Amino acid sequence: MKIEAGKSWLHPVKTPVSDDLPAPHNAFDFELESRTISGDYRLTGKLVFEDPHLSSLLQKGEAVGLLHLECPRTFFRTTLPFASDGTLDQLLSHEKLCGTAEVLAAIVAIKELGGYAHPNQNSDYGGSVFGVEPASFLAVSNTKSIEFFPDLDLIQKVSSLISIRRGEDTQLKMEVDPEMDLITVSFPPEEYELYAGLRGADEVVKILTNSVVMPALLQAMHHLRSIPEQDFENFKAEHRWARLILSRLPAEEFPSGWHTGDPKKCMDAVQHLLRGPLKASMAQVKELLENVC
Amino acid sequence: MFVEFLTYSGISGMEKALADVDTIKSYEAENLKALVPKESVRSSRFEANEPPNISGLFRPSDDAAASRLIHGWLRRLKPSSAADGRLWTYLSHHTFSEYSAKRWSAGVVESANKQKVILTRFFMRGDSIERLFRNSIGRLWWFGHVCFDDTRPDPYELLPVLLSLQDIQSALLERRIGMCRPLLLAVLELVHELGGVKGDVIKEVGRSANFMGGGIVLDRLSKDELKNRLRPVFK
Repeated sequence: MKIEAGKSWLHPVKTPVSDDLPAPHNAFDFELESRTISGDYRLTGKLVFEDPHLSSLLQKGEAVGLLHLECPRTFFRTTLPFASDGTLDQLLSHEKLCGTAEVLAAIVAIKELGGYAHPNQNSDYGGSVFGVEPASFLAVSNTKSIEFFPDLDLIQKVSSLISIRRGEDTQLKMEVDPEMDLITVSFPPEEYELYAGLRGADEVVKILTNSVVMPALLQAMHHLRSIPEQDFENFKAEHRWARLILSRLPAEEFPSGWHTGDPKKCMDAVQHLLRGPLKASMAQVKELLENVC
Repeated sequence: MFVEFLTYSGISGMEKALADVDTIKSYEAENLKALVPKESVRSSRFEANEPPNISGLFRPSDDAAASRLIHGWLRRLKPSSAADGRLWTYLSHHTFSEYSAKRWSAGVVESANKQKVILTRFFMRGDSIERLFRNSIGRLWWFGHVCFDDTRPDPYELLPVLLSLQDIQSALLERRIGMCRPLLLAVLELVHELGGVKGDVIKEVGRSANFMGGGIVLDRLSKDELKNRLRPVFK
């Protein structure tokens, strides 16, 4: 959403695109930062303005600060509330937006404000007061662009790193073999039959995938830790799964040699690759339970 | 089955091949599958049932039925993934090649700018809103996605309303105002309640909604509040 320069409203609005409030009183801006966490986006920021009148409305709960966000690429639009102290800390799912989004900050009335006037309103308004309806702009910033790109390919199949097969009749437990080109998971025959019967069911696909893929990836990550540094490049060259996994981890969070450091990073890497597996599984369980009820 | 898609380099090669008149003839002759480079096909992370048969639903009046089937088939696809042209380019050229050809090849034959029609209907390029609703198969999913309302006995009840008039699609799906979901549903419900409206009315509704959105944050209003505000424009 873009507010056109020179736009006029029925009541005085604090915005740099008009002189409803003469400069410098029309200054209204925001700071915003996005970080990718397990494929989702964490938005933090704050409103940047000085205006005791509007601050008072925010504190009293008569107005609210909003971040208005539009992502044309995914046909997605939303508003996110700033806290009453003007700060923002919100998570947005990578499933909803991807690409360049337009954002602006606003302060809008929560309820009808009778007899509204701003102490610094343009002298053209004289001593007029206004009726302001709920959801009306009281302040609005310029529009900015922000990019949202998950670190992962949203289409490419993660489980193509993993081959799942039926184990020997004597096999009693799930086993993971990271010494193959793909991480190879074998199930005892009975478990494999159950898995084969369930894998096409949309209703449980996330739970099932995470139950199998997460421990397999975790073991594979710890296997990487056991590879001596001098053999590491050779191991990568000979194991497609290792090349694929390492290429999908963001360099800033997983710098060269990360796998030799804190073992906790293995769990971080797995959760990054599976984009919040716990949340995905629980959401699916919740959905199943709701459908049962 | 895992739904398949085309790599970026595969699509790039297919786009470059459009400079060749024989490639254009393949689109006109409804011979699409042969254009897909097999080495560029990959399995996606989306597991789905066998694809629905929409081959007989190629007339514009069949769009709602085809949309229901495609969106139902890939209902778990999320918007970020559904905005990715690699999926739709493959589905248009291969999985649903027969449907795509019957639906859009005549448009290629008739057009003076054949490449443009092909790029618009069989590929999905760029970042614009419009592209979502132009690709042969992608548009069917997106129509279903924007109308899907699981609070209704039939979640696709508003789909035929959206597709009943080109002006509704132009007013709501080619402009950012349509991204405000309560507004989109409010307009469709009003059209539904009235049993249809003329294009001029929809254009006026679009203008009114834009005007309203300049003064208030539409997203803060409920669907019913928006319906109450827009109802007079329909009269």
